[in-house]
Amino acid sequence: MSVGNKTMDWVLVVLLIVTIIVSGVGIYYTSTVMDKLSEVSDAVDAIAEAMGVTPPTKGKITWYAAILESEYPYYRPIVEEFEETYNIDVDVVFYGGAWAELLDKLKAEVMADYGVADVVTIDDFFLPTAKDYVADLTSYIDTWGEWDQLYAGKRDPGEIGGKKYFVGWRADCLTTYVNIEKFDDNGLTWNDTSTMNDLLAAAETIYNNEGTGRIGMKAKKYEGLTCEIAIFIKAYGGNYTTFNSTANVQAFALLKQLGPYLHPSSNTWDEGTIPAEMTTETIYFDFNWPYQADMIKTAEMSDVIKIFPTPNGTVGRGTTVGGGYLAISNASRHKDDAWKFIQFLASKRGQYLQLQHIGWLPIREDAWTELQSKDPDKYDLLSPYGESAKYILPRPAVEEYTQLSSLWQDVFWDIVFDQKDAQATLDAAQADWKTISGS
Amino acid sequence: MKSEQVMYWVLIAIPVVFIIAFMVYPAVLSVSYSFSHPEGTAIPNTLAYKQNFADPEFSKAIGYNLLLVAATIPFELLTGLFMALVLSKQFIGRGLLRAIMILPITIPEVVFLVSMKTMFGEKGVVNSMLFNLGLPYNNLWLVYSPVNFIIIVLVEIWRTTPICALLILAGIQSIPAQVYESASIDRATVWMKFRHITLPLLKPAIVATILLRGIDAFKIFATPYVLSPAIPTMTGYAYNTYYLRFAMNPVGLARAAVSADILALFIIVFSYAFVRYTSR
Amino acid sequence: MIHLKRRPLLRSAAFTLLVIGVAFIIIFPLYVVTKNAFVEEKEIIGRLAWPWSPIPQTFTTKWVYHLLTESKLVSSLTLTIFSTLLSVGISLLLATPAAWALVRVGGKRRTGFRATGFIMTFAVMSRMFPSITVGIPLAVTLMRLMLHDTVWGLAIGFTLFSLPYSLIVMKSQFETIPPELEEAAMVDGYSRFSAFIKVTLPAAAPGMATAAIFSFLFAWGELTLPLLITSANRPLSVMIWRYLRGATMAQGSAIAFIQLIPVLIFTYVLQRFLKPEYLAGAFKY
Repeated sequence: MSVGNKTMDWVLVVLLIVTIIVSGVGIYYTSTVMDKLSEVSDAVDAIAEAMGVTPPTKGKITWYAAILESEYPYYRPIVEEFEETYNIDVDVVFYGGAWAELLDKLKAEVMADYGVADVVTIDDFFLPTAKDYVADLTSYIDTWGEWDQLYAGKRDPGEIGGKKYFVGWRADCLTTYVNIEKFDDNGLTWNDTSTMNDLLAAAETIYNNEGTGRIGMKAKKYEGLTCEIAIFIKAYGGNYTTFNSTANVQAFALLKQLGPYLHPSSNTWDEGTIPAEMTTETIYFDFNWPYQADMIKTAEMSDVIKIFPTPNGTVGRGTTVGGGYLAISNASRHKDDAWKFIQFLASKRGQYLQLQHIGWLPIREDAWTELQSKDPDKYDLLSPYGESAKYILPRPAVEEYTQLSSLWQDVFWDIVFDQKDAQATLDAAQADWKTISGS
Repeated sequence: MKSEQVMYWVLIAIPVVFIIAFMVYPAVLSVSYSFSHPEGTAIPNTLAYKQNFADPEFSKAIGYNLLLVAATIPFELLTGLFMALVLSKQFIGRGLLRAIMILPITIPEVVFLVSMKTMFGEKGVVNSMLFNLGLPYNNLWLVYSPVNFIIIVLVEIWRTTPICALLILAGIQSIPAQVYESASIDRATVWMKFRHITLPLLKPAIVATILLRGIDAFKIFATPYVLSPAIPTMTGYAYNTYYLRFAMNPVGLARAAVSADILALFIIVFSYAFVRYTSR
Repeated sequence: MIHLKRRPLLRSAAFTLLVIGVAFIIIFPLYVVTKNAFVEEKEIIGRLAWPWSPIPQTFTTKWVYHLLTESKLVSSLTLTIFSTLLSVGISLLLATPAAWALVRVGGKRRTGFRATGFIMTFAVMSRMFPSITVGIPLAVTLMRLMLHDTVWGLAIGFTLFSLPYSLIVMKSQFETIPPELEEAAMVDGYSRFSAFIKVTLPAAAPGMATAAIFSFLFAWGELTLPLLITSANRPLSVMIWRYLRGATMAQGSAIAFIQLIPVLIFTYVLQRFLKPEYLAGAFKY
C-alpha cells in the first residue's frame, strides 16, 4: 500500500471518531437544553397567567390526541371549525397509537398537580384505570342533555359508579368484508340478512372447491381476537363474563365447526397483516375496522370487496367497539373550555365531520342521517358499520379485563384450532374466571 | 518502567470493565429475574419456571431451537467448504465472486427477510413462477411443516454460507503450496489430496467455524419469527413473553428471563463440550 | 471423472456458471426488495401483485420521500445513523488502546501471554451471551441510568457486541507493528503517547478501518437488541420489522432499500480490507 493510501485511511478514521463524539455530545445537549427551555417557558406562562399579567386572550386548551401526524391533515378542518366557532385555540399533541404512554403522562401530570393536558383521549381498555385521573363530567353532561342519543354500547362504559367520566370519541367497530366476486365464483351470495349458518356453509363450500380455507380471522395471541369473539357471542345472546352460558356454548359450537374451514394462517394474523390478505385475495371474508375500507380503496378493489353488517345469530348481530374516549384531565386548568371541545366533538355536527373527513364511525345515529343527505355514496359504502354499531357488546368494566381477554383467546384456540369440546372448555374457563375475579 | 506497566493494565482493563458492567452483570441479573415473582416477594420463586414448562409452546421452542442448530450447521459447513475451495482456485470472475459473497454477511437481516417474505408468501414470487409454468401454485410454503422448516433452514444457509466460506478460506490459504506440490509429485489425485492434505490441515479452521457458527445458530430469531411463526425459537418465546409483561401476563418478565437463560445455558454447554471434545 | 485441470475451457465454463449462479442467488432477493420499494401499493397488495412480475408495472418515489420527510421515519433514520457511528467510535476508542497495551505487555514477560489468552477467551465468551439474555436486564440497567431509549443507550448496546471483534482485529493489526518504530520516535524526543499517535496509529489505520466498518455494519443491521432496549425511538431495522405487514410492505421495503445503500457502499470498500488474516485472528486463541 502506498503512503498516500495510509494517510487517507488515517485521516478518515480520525474524522470519523471526531464526528461521532461531537455529534453524540451535540444531540444529548441539544435535546436536554430544548426540553429545559420549553419547561421554563411553560412555567413563565403559567406564572403570568396566574398573576393576571397577560391580558385575556383567546381561550387555549391542550389536547393529547391519539392521532398520527400523518392523519392530522384530514382532521385539521374539524379542529379549525371548533377554533373559529368558539374562539378557543387547540394545541394538539400527537400520540399516534401510544395510548399507554398517553395515560402514563396523564397520571404523572395529575400526581404532580402540574396540568398541561386539558382534553385527553383514553383507550377503551384503560377506562377503569384512568378514572382516578380524569374529571367527573356528570354535571356538564346532564346540562348538555344528549347523552341518551349516543349508541348504548359505546356510551355506557363511560359511566363508572354512577358518575360520567368519559365521552365516546368515535365508535370504531368491526364489520364484515366479503369478496363478492370470489364468492360468486364459488356459487355463493352474501347480503345484509346472511347468518352465521350461511357463513359456515360458505366456508365449507369454498374449502371443498379450492382445497384451502378462505375465511380469515385475526387470531394471533394475544391481540385483537377478543374483539372477533364478541361478534359471535353477542349474535347468540351471550356476554363476556359468563363463559359457559348456553348462548356462549352455542356460539362456540358454531365456531368449532368453522375451525377447519378457516385459512390456516389465521392463527398468525392481526390487524396489521390481515387487510393485505383480503386485497391479495388470499382470503375472501374477514371482520375488520373501518381502516380496511381505505386499504381496499388504495388497492383498487372497491368493486370486488364489499362491506356488510355482521352475520346474524339466533338473537341478532354482534360487534365490539374501540376508538377511544374523550376526557378532561383532573389537573386541567381550563375545564370549561375543555368541555366545550368535547361537546363539539360529540355533537351531531362534530361526529358528522369526523365521519366525512376522516372516515371515523360516529357514536350517534343522527350523524349517519346527516351523511346520508350530504354524501349518499359514502353513506352507502360505510352504512353497514352503522347497522352493526347498534349491536355493540361493550367491554366489561372489570379490573382484570386483560386476564379475561387472554382467557377468552385461550378458549378460542382450544376450541377452534385444537377442536376441543366447547362445553367442557367453557366450563373450565368459567372456573378459572371465578378464581381470577374472586367472585 | 513500572508506571508504564500500570498504564498498560489500565488500558486493557477498560474494555473488560465495560463488558462486565453492561454484559456480564445484566446476564447475572437475568438469572435473578427468572426467579422473581410479580408481587416482588424476595424469596426465590420458581413460578416462572413452572409456567414455562407447563406451556407446550415452550418445549416446542426448545425442540425447534435445537433442531435448527442441528440442521443448519452441517449444511452451511458443506456449502461454506465448497465455496471456500472454489474461491481458493484461480479463475476469471474470482474477484467479482469474492465481492458478491460478502453481501449476505453485511446485509441487515431484516432487509433480507422483507424479500424472503415476498418470495415465499402465498401470493409470492415462487408461487407466481410456478403459476407461470403451469404447476400447482397454491403452496403455503411457510405454513405447513416440514416445508416451512426446510425453507427456514435454506434461508439461514443463504445468510451464513459466506461467513463459513471466508473462515475456511483463511484456513486454506495458510496451507503452504509445497505440501500440494510434493503430493503431486507422488501422483496423488485431486480427491486424495483433498482427503489427506486439505481436510486434516483444515481441521482447526473447521473446528473454529463450527464453534462460532454453532453459537450463532442458537441465537436464530428473526427468520422464523417473521417468516413462519409456527416454528418457535427460545429467543422468540422470550420476546413474546417479555412483551406480554405489559398487557397480559404479569409474570412475563420472569418467563422471558427463564427462556433467555436456558438458551444461554445451552450455548455455554455446547461451547464447553465442543471445545473439550475437539481439544483431545 | 472429468479432470477439470486438463480441460481449461470446460473449467472456465463451469466456474463462470457458478459465478453467475451464486451472483443470481445473492442479488435476486436484493432486487425484490428494491422493486417493492418503488412501486405503488396496489402492485403489492392488489390484483397487480399476482402473478409477480420482475418488471415493475407502476413507479413511485413516494415511499422514499416519506422516509425523508415524515418525522417518525426521519427521527428513526437519524437515530440509526448516530447510534451506529457512536458505537463505532466507542468501540474503536476502547479497543485500540487496549489491544495496543495487550501486544506491548505480551512481548515483555510471561504474564503478558496469559493476558492475551484471557482477553481472547473473554472476547469469545461475550459472543456466547445471546442478545436476549443480555438485552432484557440491560434495558432495566439503562433505565436506571436514564439511558433507556436514547442514542447513547443504543450505542452502548451495539458496542457490547462489536467490541470483542474490534479487539481481535486491532490485536492482529498491532502485532504487525514492531515496537522498534515507537522506540525510534521516542529516541527522537517524542513521549510514549505522542509516539503512539504519530507513528503507531497511522500504521494501524487499515485495522482500524476494518474494525470500524465491521462495527458499523453490525450496529446498522442489528435487530434483536434494539427491540429490547428501545421503546419509542426505534432504529431503522426495527421500523422495517414493524412495517413487514402486508399493508405497509412497500414502505418497509423503501426503508430496507435505504438501509441497504450504505451497506453496499461499505461492502465495496470492505473488499480491500477483508483479508483472511484478520479473520484468522478469530481462531488463534
